[in-house]
Amino acid sequence: MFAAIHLLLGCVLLRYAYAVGRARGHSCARAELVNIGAVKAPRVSAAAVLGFLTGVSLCPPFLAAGVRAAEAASVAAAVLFFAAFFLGTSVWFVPFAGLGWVRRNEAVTTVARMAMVLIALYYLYAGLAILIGKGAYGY
Amino acid sequence: MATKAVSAPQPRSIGRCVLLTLPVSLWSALMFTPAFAHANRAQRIAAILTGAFMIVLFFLMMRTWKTYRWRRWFFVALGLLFPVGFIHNVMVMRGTMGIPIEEMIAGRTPFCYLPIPLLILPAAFTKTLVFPGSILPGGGMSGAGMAAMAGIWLAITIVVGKGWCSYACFFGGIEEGMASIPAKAKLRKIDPRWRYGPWAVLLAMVLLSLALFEPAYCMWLCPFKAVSEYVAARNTVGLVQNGIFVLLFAGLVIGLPLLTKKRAQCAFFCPFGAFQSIFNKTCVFEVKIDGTLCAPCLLCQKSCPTMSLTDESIARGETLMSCMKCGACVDACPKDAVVWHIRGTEVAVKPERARLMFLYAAWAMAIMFGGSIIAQGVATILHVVL
Repeated sequence: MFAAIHLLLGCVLLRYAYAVGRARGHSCARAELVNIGAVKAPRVSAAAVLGFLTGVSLCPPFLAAGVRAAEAASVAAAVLFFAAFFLGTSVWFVPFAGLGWVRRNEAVTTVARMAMVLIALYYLYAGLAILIGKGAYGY
Repeated sequence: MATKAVSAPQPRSIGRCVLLTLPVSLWSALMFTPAFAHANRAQRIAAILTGAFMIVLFFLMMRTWKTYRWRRWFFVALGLLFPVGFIHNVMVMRGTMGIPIEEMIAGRTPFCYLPIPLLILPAAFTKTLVFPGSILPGGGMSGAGMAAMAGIWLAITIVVGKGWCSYACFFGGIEEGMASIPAKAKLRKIDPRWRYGPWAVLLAMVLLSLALFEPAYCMWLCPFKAVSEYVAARNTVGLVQNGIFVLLFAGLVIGLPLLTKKRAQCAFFCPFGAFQSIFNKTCVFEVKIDGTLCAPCLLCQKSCPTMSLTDESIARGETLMSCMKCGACVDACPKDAVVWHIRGTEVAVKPERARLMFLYAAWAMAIMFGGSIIAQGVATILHVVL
């Protein structure tokens, strides 16, 4: 399973590195970058899918907040706590709003593409190593 | 517009050159005299030869007004002699160039500055240094030792910026030597986007170092492992790692410099160089182009070993932030339009004074770091020969 995930991530990174290069120069990102699925088939937003996948992978702070909410005196208090938790953690995502602007810089895009290829190669190697029953260091 | 070269300047008088070289001579004496304490004959001779070598090169820089031509002798000597002394040391200490991963994790490897940028994120998130080297004699490191190294590096960086890569780095000399062998480049058209390579390697390695909690560059991508200490190949993975090191060394340090006459590893790959570039924006010294004298003939662009001059940057009168201050462009300019400059002062006003001040700082650093390494390499050779 871990091998498959590593190989999949490596392939996705390579695909993105290639597609970002093709998309450069357009005012909007190409559909293949923001949607998952064949061009003519019904497609879903990649952001929604990745957001869902990230959401189902429960992080420790979220679990801690869940326990705290469960211990709350009433449902209203639990909802209020979660609302505050959501607002508080959302602040950390504010800087990401500016990343779209950074993408217009050719140097940043080129550096990101090259880095994607390097990291993808590591993931592919690690995936293959796990697949043949070894860790990344052969142990 | 046709380029009309200014007439070659007369050599500076010998007496004046001697006076200008005096501080460097004193610094050399200060640096190499301690080598005489508890030293054998080979080490004493090596210290004398190296000190004289550094003094003579500086004298020639003063006499001929040229920088790159003479700096290159020092830099190539440093690049070639570093593996000699280093390999000798690890063979004596360990009996092999191969280092087991446990030794690396324990920090029982010699100090290297290349992983410094890779330490930042793991240190910020976990307060732990994933450093593959030691600065204590018995291995490992102390907080005070690390702080002292960081202080020295910071002081040098504030003054010379990426000049570190041309006057202190013990890795770049081999490729500079290789690049100087062919009379003309066989590979002339290089996509300028490859200049972003070091930033990409830096970004990838910083992220991987955080994810894997190890200095990823040292484990997987350092070309100079091929001539220093490789990973002990106890399994297939070790062979893969060493294969990558050897291929990168053969391609970036030997092959591409021979084909392009560029310092290919520095220009397209080295993550430390990219990190050091950041400080080129704030350091004291820089290279500028006087627009009133520039033709432009683009000889500076052709001579730059790291492609740090573009048509646009020349028009702006400056180099790119990847400039290593090697002096190749200054030496190449037939109209003296490319000049050394002290930040905050007027461009092209007393450029020789700026050059002198830069060279005193850079050559002091060269003697302190490079000189000791050259002396060690020479001593190793003499130890074998004598």
